[in-house]
Amino acid sequence: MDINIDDILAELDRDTTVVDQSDPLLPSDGNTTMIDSSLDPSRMDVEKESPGVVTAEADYRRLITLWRNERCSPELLPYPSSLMSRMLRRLQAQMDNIESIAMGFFEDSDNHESVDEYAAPHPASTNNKLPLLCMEADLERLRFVIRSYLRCRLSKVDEYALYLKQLEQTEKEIMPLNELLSAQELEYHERHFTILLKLLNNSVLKHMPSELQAINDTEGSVSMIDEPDWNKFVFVYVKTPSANQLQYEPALSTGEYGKSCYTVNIEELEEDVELAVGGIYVMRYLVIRELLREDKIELI
Amino acid sequence: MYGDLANKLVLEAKRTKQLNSRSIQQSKLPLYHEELVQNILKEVGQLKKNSEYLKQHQILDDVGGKVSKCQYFVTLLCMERNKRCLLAYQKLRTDTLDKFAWDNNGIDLLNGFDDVDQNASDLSRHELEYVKEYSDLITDLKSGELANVDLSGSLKPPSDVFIDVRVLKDAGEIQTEYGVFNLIKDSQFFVRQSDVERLIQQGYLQKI
Amino acid sequence: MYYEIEQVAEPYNEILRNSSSPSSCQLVIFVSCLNIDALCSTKILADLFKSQLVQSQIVPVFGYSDLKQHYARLDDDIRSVVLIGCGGSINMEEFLEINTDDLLVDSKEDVRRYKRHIYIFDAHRPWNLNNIFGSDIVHCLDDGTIEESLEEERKAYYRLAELDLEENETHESEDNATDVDEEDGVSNDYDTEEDEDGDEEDFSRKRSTDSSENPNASNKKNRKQRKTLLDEYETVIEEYYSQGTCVVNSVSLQIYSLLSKIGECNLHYLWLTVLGATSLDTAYPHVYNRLYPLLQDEVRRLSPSSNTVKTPDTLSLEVQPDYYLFLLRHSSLYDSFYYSNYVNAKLSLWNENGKKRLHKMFARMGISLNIAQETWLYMDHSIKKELRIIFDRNLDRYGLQDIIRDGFVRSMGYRGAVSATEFVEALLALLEVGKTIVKYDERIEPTDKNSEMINKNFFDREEQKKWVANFWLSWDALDDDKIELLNRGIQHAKTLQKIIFNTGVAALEKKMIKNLRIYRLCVLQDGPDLNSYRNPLTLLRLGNWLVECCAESEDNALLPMVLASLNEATDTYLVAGLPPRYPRGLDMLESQKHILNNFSMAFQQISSETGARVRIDNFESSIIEIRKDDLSPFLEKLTLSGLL
Repeated sequence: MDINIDDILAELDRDTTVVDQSDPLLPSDGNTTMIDSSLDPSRMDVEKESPGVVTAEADYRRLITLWRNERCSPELLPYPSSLMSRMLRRLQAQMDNIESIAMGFFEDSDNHESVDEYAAPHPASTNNKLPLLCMEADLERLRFVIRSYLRCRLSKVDEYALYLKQLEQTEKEIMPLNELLSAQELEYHERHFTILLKLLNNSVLKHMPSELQAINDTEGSVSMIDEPDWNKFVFVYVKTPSANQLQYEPALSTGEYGKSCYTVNIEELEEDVELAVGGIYVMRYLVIRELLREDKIELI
Repeated sequence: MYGDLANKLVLEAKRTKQLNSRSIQQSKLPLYHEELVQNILKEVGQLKKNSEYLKQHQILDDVGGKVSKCQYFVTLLCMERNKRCLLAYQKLRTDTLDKFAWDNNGIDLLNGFDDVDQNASDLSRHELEYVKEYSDLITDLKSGELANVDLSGSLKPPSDVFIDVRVLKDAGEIQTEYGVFNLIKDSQFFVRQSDVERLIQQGYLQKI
Repeated sequence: MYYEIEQVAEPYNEILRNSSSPSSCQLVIFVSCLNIDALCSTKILADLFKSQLVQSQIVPVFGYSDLKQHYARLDDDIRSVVLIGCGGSINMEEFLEINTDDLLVDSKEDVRRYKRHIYIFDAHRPWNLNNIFGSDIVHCLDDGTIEESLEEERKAYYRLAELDLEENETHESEDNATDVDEEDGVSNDYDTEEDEDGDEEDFSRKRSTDSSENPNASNKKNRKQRKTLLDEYETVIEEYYSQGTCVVNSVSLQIYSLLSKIGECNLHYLWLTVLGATSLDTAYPHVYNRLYPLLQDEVRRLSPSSNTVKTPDTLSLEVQPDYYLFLLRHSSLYDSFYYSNYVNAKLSLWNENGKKRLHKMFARMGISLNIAQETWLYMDHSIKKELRIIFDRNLDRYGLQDIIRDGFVRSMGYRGAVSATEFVEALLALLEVGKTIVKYDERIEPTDKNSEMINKNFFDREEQKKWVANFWLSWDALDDDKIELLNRGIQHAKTLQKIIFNTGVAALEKKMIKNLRIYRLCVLQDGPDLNSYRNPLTLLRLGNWLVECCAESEDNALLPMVLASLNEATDTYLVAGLPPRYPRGLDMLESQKHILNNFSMAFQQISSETGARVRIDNFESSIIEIRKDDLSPFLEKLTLSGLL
C-alpha cells in the first residue's frame, strides 16, 4: 500500500506555524519586546528581572519559582504584577488559539466529502489532534500553577488579615500594601475582613464588655494579631548569580573554600554563616528573609 | 467553675475539626450552639460585674490587697479566656464555611442548600449572611481577568486531558459553559477533564 | 440501510468524520445491559474511540421503553447514536418517533444529508426490513445474512414499495409527487396495539390497510393483478418475520473484523472478542462452534511465541484444552462435575442414581473422592497433568466424551489463569447479582399504609435500574487490574449455580415440569430462592439447565419450554420461552439446523388477542412480564393457538 506522507508532513508544518505565530508559551526567538518598565535596569522593580529580553519561557520559569517560594514561605511575598498580567494575557491568547484550531477541525470535518469509502481514516486528521491535545495539557498545567499560586496567597491574606492591617499602618513607607498585594487581593482583603468582622461582632464581640470588644487587641496575655511564623525552618537553595552580579554584588564574598557565598547572621547563636552558591541549607526563615527579598535564594 | 462552659465549646469545635479532617466528603458543620454561646456571654457579663465590684471594693492593705488583686486578675483572665474560646469556635466554623463557599461556588445558595450537604438550619443567622456575602465576594473575585484561571477549580495537579467519568445522579440536561451534558444516572462519559471538573466537585460525576 | 461485510469499517469512519469535534460530545452509545456480548463489544468500541480522542457517552439500557425515553431527551448536538445488542428487530425510525425531515441538513442532487445517524450493531435476527432496506438514517451492520439469504425479501420489499407508489400516484394524481411519503408505502407490517393504562405499546409491525377506491372501472383488471402481486410479496415478508428469532453471530466478532479492517488488532481487543463470543456458548452453541476456528486462528496469530519467560506482567492468551465443567480452575473437580449443566444432563445428577454414577466414574478414573473435592489450585499435581488422558480414557463409557474441547485461557503473570468460559461465568454472575447477593427476605419492606400501592406497582422499574448499575460492575471487572471483582464474580457464580441446581432438582423431583403436548411448562411460585429469578439472566440460566436435562431425558420430544417465575413485589410473572435443544453431541452435526425461538411472535400475538396486561420490553423478545392473574388464560390461549 502506498503511503504518501507528504500531506501529513504538510499538515504538521501548517500546524506548527500556526502554533508558532500565536503560542507564546513555546520559546520564541526573543524578539518579543514589550514596552515594559521592567526593562529599565535603573528602576528597582519588585520582580528584579535582569534587564534585557522578556521571553515566555523565562516568565514561566519565574512563575514556577515564585509559586514555590510562596508555598514554602510563612509570610506573604510581594505580588509580581507585570509578570502576572503578561501570563494572564498569554493564557487568554492561548485559549483563543486552541479554540480556533478546534473550530477549524469542526469545519474541516463537516466539509469532508467521502471520497473513498473504503479507505482508513485520513491519517493527518487523527494525528492533528495530538498537537491540540498537548497544547491543552500544557494550558491546564499553567492554569493550575496560577490557580494554586493565587489561592495560596489568598489563604495567607485570610490568615494574616489583621497583621496586614497593622502593616498598613506602620510600614506605609517601606512596603506599601499595594505592592505586596494585587488590586484584587486588596479588595478581597478589605471586603473579607469587613464581613468577617461583622460576623464576629454580631455573634461575640458586641456582647462583650467594652474593653474586650476589639478584634486586634494586643494588650491581653496573648496578642490577637497573628504574625507569620518567623522562626519556621525552610529549605533554601542559593542561586548562581548572573555575570553582572558577580562583578558588582557587594554581599557576595569568598568563603573558606574559595567559593563565593553570602553571609547571614543568626542572632540566637550569634554566629555568622556562609551560604555558598549552589548549596542547599535549612534555616529559620527570619535569617534568610533579606536574601529572599533580594532574590538571591529560592525556597524549595 | 468559670471557663468550663467555654471548654465545652472548644471541645465541640475540636470534635468537629477532627470529624471533618477524617471524612472524605465535604465538611459539615453541626448545629450552632446558640445556647452555650449565650451562657458563656452571660458568664462574661457576670465576670464583668464581679470585676467592677472588686475594683470598687479594693482593699488596700497588703494581705487582703493581694488576694483581691489576684481575684481581680483571675476574673480578667477568665473573661479573656471566654472571649478567646468564643472567637475560636466562631473562627473554626467560619473557616469551614469559607471552604464550603469555595467548593460550592456557582451553586445558587440563595435558593437554599438543598443540593449540598450542609443543613442551612444548622447555621446561625449571622453565619448564613456571612456565607452568602463571602460567596458573592468569591464570584466577584473570579470574574474579570482571572476568569480564565477558574480560581475555584481543582487544587490537584491536572492529570489527563480526557477522562472517564460516571454519572452518579439523574440530573437531566445540564448546561455548562462548555456544552450540554445529559446526565443520566449510571451512564459513562469520556470527556475533557476541565469541562466536567465543576460537576465532579458538585458530586454529580465520579472520576474513574 | 445496511453495510455489507466488506464495508464493515464504514460506521467507524463515518463516526470519526461526523462526531469527533474536540469541543463537545456528539456520540452516544446505547448498550443492552444484560448481554455479555454487547458489554464486550461496547468496551472494544469505547476503547477504540478513546484512542482517537472522540468524546462519547455510554448509556446502558434495560429495555425498549428505557431506550426510547433516553433517546427522546438527547441533545441536538448528538450526531451519532450507536445501538449495541438491541434494535435490529424493531423498526427504529418509527419506534423512536424520528421525523427525518427534522434531521435533514440539506438535500441537493438527490443526496440528502442528515444531522444524525443511528448505527445498529445487533446479532438478533430476523432483521426488521425497514431498518435495512427502508431507512436513510438507520445503518445496520450485517454479517452476510442479508446478502446470502434475504434476496427474496429484498425483492418483495422494494416491489411492494413500488406498487404502493404506483397506486398512490394513480388514484391521487392531483396530489404533489412529494407528498407521497415513501415511509407510508413501505410499512406493511402488523399493527397490534394494546393499552395498559394507556402506557405500553407493542412495538411490532404495522400494517397500513390501504383501501383504495378507484372510481375508474377500466383499471379493475390492473388492480386485481396488483392485488395478487401485493399478496404474494406480503406473504414473503410475513413468512420472513414469523420464522422465529435467534442470534446468529457475535457482535464482538463483527467489531473485531472492523478492527482488522482498520489495522488495530491487538491482544487486548482479541481477549474481549473471545469473551463476547464465548458468552454465546450456553444458549447458542452452534454459533460458538462456528466462530471458534476463526478465534483460534487469531489467537495463534497474535500470541507471542511460547518460549517467553513468564514474568509477573505477562498477559498471554493461549489455546488450551478446556472442559464443559463448571469453573474447574476455581472450585474442586467434584463440584465442577456436579454443577456442570452438561454432566448433569447426561448423568441425571439430580437424582440419587446419577450421583452414584458420578462416584463410580470417579472411582474408575482412579481419583478418590477426597482428592476430587480438593480445591483445584491445591489438587494433586500429577492428576492435573494427566487429566486429559484420564478423561479420554474413561468418559466414553458415560457418554461424556465431548466434555473435552479446546478453549481459550488467559494467564495473568503469577496471579493465575482463567479460561474464557470461567470469566464469562463471573461476568454473568456480576450482571445478575451485583456486588453482594442480598438475601431478599431480609430486605426491609416499607410498612406504611401506602405500601400496598408501592409494592404492587406494575410500573416499578427499581429492579431494572439495578441491572444498569451491575453493568458497570461487570465493565470494571474487564479491567486487568480489578482481579478482586473477577474473584467476587466467580464466588457469585458458584452460589448462583447452586441455587439453580437446587431449584432445578426440586422442579424435577416434584415433577413441576408439565408436558403440554406442544411445549413444556414450569411455573415457580415459591421456594427459598424465588427472588433470585427476578433477573432474566438468572431465569435463563435455570431455563438452560432444565432444557439440557430435558434434552437428555428419555422422553425427548424436542419440545420448547416456557418457564415462569413469580415476582411477589410487583405481582407479576417473568416468563421466558426457550426453544428445545438437541442433545449435546448431536448438535455438532452440520445437518442439524438450530431450532429457532418462536415465542417472540407467539407472545406478541397472544397478548394482543387476550388483552392481557403484558409488558414486552426486553431486548430478548422471548422474555415478557405478565400480570399474575393473566398468566393462566394466557397460557391456555398459547396452548390452543397452534403457533408453536
